[in-house]
Amino acid sequence: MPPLTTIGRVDDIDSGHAGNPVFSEWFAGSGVKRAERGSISVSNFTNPAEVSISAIGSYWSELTPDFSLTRPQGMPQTQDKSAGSDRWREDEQRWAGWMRAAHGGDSEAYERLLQELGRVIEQYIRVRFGAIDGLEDCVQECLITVHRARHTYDVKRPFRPWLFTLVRHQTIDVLRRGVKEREQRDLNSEAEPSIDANQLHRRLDGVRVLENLDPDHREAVALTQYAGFTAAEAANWLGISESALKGRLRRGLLAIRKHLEAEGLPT
Amino acid sequence: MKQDRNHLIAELATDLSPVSNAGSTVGMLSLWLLVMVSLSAAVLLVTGDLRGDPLVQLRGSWQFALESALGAAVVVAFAAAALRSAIPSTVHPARAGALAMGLFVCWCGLMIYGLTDSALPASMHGKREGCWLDTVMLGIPGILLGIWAVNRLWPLRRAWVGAWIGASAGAVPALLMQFSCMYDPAHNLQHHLLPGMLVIPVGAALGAFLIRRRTGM
Repeated sequence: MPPLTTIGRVDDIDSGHAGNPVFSEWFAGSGVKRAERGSISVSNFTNPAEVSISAIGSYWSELTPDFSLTRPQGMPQTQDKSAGSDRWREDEQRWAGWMRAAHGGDSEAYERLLQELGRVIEQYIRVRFGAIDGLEDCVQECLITVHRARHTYDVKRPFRPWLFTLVRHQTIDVLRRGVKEREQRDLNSEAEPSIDANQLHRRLDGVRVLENLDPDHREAVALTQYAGFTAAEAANWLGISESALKGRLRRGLLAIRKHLEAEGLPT
Repeated sequence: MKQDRNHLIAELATDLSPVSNAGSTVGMLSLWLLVMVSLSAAVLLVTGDLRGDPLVQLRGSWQFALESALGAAVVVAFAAAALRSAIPSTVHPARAGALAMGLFVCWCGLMIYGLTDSALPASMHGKREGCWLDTVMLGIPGILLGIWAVNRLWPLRRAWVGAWIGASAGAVPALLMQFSCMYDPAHNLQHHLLPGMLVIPVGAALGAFLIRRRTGM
């Protein structure tokens, strides 16, 4: 096992990002073995600084415009950061160029742009928001948003802030919608038991069912299930022991269940 | 799923149509300001006279000219902030409107300075009854025009955009009252500038309701 070497700090990394499975996966792919708050440790590459800082730099700078990478004291300066920023600039120019062409009606350039943005948006959402439900749907909604808002992109301005503002708002919108839908589902699922309970009460309330019970069992069921007595209170009321009351209650409920089953009703 | 995405991208590319003046808000800004100022000026001229010859007053007092120039700058800066906030960017609308707010503070500052050293001799000549209400009411069409303009863009923070629209729309009648109502710095502050800025919350509220909510689907 090669020794771990701390090669840099990403100031805006936090435990949430470090614990993110996608991030961990990416770390694994890039040779990063451990991510801690504020620091990144990598295994010993031939030139660890070059590989990792370049990878981290380009990755982070792609995703976070406020990206900053500070080198630990005494760390030799390499060309890696500039390599990352070169890639950043190239992407920026390429996307802006394709969007400019798309404004003119060039559908081929536009298709290439959307293909690339699809991947970038997916990465951005994974890192920024984690593995959200319906990630692919969210990416596609973001692409539709980019399509519908393309007329607001000013080719004289940077592309990334425009893109990621749209993506961030759209993703938050999707997440909010998801929360609302979940709340609605929860409400519905809460409503269902109450419907069942009502149905059960209605069934239990039926004289027909209770009439078929043994009088002792009926008393136990009526006191505990309708009058709201506790087992001890019902036992005291009937002048029997609590265990005897529980025995009557158990047998009474069993009889009701058998009766309902015999009628083909759910119990 | 990736297959679906490719299919979607192909559809979007097929649906592509050329876009003219993409991202440019200069034309829209000019049109909005022109209509807003023309409308307010027309209403003020129909409902009353000018206090005097504006050119003579502007030439006669540098302070009055500066007050008017600052007012005009406030109108343009707030309108530009509204349109800038209606285009997706990482700049928060509060920051987009910072310059306009600064100019507005300067405008108010100059008026306050005028309390001790008035740009023009304070007088009741040309006084309009209910000028503060006129200022507020004349701001409303400007807000609606502004909302129409930003709905052609992609506003993501509707209340903020509405607030800047309201600020610009309120500043227009406040500025025009410089020429069509009585001149007195205290009156200007209380009956023109303050009501003009009361239009900000109106703009924010109307913006939140009337600016189209933008989602991809």
